[in-house]
Amino acid sequence: MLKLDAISFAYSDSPVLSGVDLSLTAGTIGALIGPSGCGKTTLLRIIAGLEIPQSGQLAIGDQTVVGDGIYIAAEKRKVGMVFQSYALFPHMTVQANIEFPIQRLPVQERQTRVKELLSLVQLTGQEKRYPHQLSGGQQQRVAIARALAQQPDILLMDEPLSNLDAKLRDQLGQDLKKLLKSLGITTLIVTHDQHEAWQLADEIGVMFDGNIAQWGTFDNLTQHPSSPKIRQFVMANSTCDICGQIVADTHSHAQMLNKPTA
Amino acid sequence: MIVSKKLAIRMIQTGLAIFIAGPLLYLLLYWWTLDVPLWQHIIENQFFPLIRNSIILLVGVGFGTSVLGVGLAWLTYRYRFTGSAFLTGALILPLAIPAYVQGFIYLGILDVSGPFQTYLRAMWPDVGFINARHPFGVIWVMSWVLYPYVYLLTRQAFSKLDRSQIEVARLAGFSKRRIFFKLIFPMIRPGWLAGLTLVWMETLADFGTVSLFGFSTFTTAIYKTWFDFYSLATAAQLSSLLMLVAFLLLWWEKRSESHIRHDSNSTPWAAQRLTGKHRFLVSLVCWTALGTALIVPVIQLVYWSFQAPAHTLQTLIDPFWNSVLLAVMAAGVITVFAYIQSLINYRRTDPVLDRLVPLTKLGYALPGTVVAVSTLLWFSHIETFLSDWLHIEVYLTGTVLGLLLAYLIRFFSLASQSLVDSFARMELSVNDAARTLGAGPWKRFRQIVWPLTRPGALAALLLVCTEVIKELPATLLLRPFGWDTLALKVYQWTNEAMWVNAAMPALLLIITGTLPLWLFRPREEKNVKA
Amino acid sequence: MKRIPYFLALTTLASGLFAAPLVVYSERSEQLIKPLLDRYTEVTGIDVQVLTDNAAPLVARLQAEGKRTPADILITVDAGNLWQASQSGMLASIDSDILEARVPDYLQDPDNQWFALTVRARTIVYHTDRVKPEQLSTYEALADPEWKGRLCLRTSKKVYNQSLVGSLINRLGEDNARAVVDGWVNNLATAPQSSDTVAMEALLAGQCDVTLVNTYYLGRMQKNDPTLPLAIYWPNQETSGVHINVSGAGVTRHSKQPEAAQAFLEWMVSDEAQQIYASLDMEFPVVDGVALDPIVSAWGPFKPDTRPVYKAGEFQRQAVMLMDTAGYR
Repeated sequence: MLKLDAISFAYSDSPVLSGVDLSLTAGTIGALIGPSGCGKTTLLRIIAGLEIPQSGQLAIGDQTVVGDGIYIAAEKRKVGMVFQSYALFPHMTVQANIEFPIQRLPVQERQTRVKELLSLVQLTGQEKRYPHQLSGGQQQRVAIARALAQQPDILLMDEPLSNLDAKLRDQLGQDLKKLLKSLGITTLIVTHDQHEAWQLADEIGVMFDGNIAQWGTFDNLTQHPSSPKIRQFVMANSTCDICGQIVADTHSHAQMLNKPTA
Repeated sequence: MIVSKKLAIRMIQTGLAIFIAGPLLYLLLYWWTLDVPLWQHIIENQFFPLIRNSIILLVGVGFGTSVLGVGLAWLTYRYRFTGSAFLTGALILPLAIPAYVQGFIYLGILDVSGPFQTYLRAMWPDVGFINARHPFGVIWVMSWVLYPYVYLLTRQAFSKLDRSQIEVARLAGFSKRRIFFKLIFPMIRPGWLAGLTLVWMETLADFGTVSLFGFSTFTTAIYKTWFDFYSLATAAQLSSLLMLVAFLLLWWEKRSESHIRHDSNSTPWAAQRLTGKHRFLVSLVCWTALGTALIVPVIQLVYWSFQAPAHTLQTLIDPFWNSVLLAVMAAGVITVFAYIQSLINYRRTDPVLDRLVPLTKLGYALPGTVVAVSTLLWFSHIETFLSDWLHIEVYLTGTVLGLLLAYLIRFFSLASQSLVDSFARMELSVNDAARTLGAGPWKRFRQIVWPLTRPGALAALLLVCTEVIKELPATLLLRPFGWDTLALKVYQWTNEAMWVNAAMPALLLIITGTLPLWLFRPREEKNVKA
Repeated sequence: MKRIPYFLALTTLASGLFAAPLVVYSERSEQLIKPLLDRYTEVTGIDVQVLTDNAAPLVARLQAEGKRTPADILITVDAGNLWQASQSGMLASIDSDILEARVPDYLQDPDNQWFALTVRARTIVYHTDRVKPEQLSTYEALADPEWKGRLCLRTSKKVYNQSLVGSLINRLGEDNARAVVDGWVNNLATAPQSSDTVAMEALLAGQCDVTLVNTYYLGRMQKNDPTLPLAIYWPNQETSGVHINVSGAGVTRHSKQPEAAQAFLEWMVSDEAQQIYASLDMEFPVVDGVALDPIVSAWGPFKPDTRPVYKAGEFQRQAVMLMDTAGYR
């Protein structure tokens, strides 16, 4: 569904990404983790079409969007993106925000779609409110509904849980995963928080200095880290206190999710 | 194709900067020749006392406008009292009064031959003569016309304060005073500085007010070398020094610009409804301020108007319409250009272009006549170039088009300053989000960028309107024949020291300038605690 | 007032396209010149347009416009400004018998680039309650210690005072002129005023007893209130005569209709024009035999200083520097 081939990117003189390969099959939730400045957000923006890579190929679905002399602008790609700050339009109601990408549809159809999306994200009845009247969690759900409105092929999420209340984060993370799975949408998440990645993703990539150092499932990464650096990053610097223990005990992914965190 | 788009943006931006800063940079060419005896004379006799005077004026007016501006903004933001809703808006209206008009009104009232001192001497012959033409007088007059810039911009900053931050400090046992200076003041600092920069630029540029008070500043020296020594070159050299000061000022202001992004989720701080003694005191302070800045001067002008020959009003109809027409056209043009610049700039992805921005603001800090003449010289070069090389005869000097361009050079800074805030408050990701949602440039502009920045554009439009109505030197030198404005009518009489005859056009000018300000006035917030 | 349609103003100026009006750049305020121009249009049918500003910006504009200038005539006040304009090369020499005959030699440019149109006298005005005319004699005598704390002066930034001091330098030499200015500064009752009118108001208020003004400023005040306790004293009658200055005009170098411009100047010194012009602001006509405003004739006759007025321009820079060093602000 998503295929990146040797994507390279640099700001005027400093390289950010150097030949990134990545592929995600339909319906998978992938996550990219890595320290800040490793280029993961840039990669997300390249997939969305907000940055133009200097070289490499990028395909979404069956369509090549970058490469072979082809370049398809962000506006024309069927990609939904949820920004870290949600980037809701502050002067528009919830309804207008969600309708924004589908204004061309007939009124009837549009309203039905908004209703469906709102009930999907459990915000039924909030159509007339403005973003500043909503809580952080509600804002995030509006952002997701808006990103889904145009029925994108893939969904990109930048630090989906980092702006949320720490207490609610776990619960909302579970809700989010359930939602994404029920939609069956291919999703790529970017986060600096390993715990978030363990919780949400099927497959995880660890990024260092503009490259994906290792890509695999949770078990893969914890049991067979390809370098000491990855082992160190996967285990340390985590908000998940018991992860180290999990690694040691080689517990399964599912088991971990069922265990309450400290 | 993508590269060429970036190039095009750079070219537009650079072109705009060159066009606006061009005439001013042109002044630098005058350093080719140096009138050594004149420079020697200036340095020996004027230079340092005048610099000292300019510094006194900057410090004094800076202090005066800060106390008035921040103080009044605080009172109208924090408290509700008799007339507070009206005062919140009305306190910016003194901006409609040209500083030199305020100057001759206050001199008319307070000078030795004015009613105030005449009365004093009649009652107590011993008081003698009090010198009203004192440095303090200039500071007084200029503070009362310029404080609205500080008031306006600090008040905007106040209204974005977050109650919870203050509550945290209060719970931590901070005193009220400490909360203000350690917590609130740092948060409103960017607004205060932006206002102060405008005040200082106007102060540097002023010539009319200081000469009424016989207070010589650096700007006086510029006029003197040009008008009395007839050395345009030396005047241009002095102006370029002033330009350097202005540039440093703008650079400093830009550096200390806010990096605090205001959280749209912040809880507003409820104002307090005052009662009893406090209500009386705060009302008294605010009404006295408005009285001093606006009501007393207007009453004096009305009084003089009745003494003036009766035919005056009729001769003001055409100038009135000219003022309005020029103001509306200029405000439109300037706002569009400033808006384009802000639009290109707000992503701040191009540090080279970012550095061009202060250049486009210099026109506001130079004496009006200097701007007018450098614009004139600039135009004549453009005209000659077009005529000699492209065989196109274009007349800019003495046409409305030329006049509008001169206003653009002079007031661009004011318009872009007004736009900065609303662009800064627009999150970049909002635009990116719209792109990923399939919106093309036009849809993004129409539905996202424009609605979010419209208040800033409107502010720029109205503020420039008022300034153009007040503008004199460029209008005087570059206007088409017969295009008298109200400011010109005022000048015609004040030039001959005939204040009484100047009163009616001045009054009409103030009323005209007040209208856009009233539309744009700050409004009282709705949150009130009993 | 007629307003040029704005689309016209946007595209081009009138010059050369249709029946060309005369274009005047004037330092003289519009209300003090417009009635005269209107009268010219009435008499000749030639339209006259006027642009007012200070002399220096107007000359700068002439220089910037060069050959493309729409201006035909430059009118300024004060000979110093006229001299500067001729120095800038922006005026043309005029060969006119009428102007030569009607304007006295000392009131014109030696190279005939400009001619005076009115004469203004800068003289002593005193408070009649506190000063006897016998106490007064010359400009120089105001430097005497007996006037300590009794003198008011307008700022040295006004060209009228620069010309006056220039004439002192011309007449007495720089050292003596400096002594006079030093004496004046010493005698000042208060910091120099921003205008002649304000200085006279200080006299009325009692702050000082004597000042130097152009007569028409007093004329304006007397017109409002004839009973003012202020009077004119004509100084230096035994010696050099009253310092005079002029308002004057020249034809611009790049005028496209120099003949018409010259004809306008010639009309300006006709009896009719002189009478209108001088009475507009209570000045003195440059020609003899024109009826004076009653207020002006009440001041009586005086002997003017007949040294060529253009000398004021030559000495202007020196005069300003002298006043600066003497601390006359």
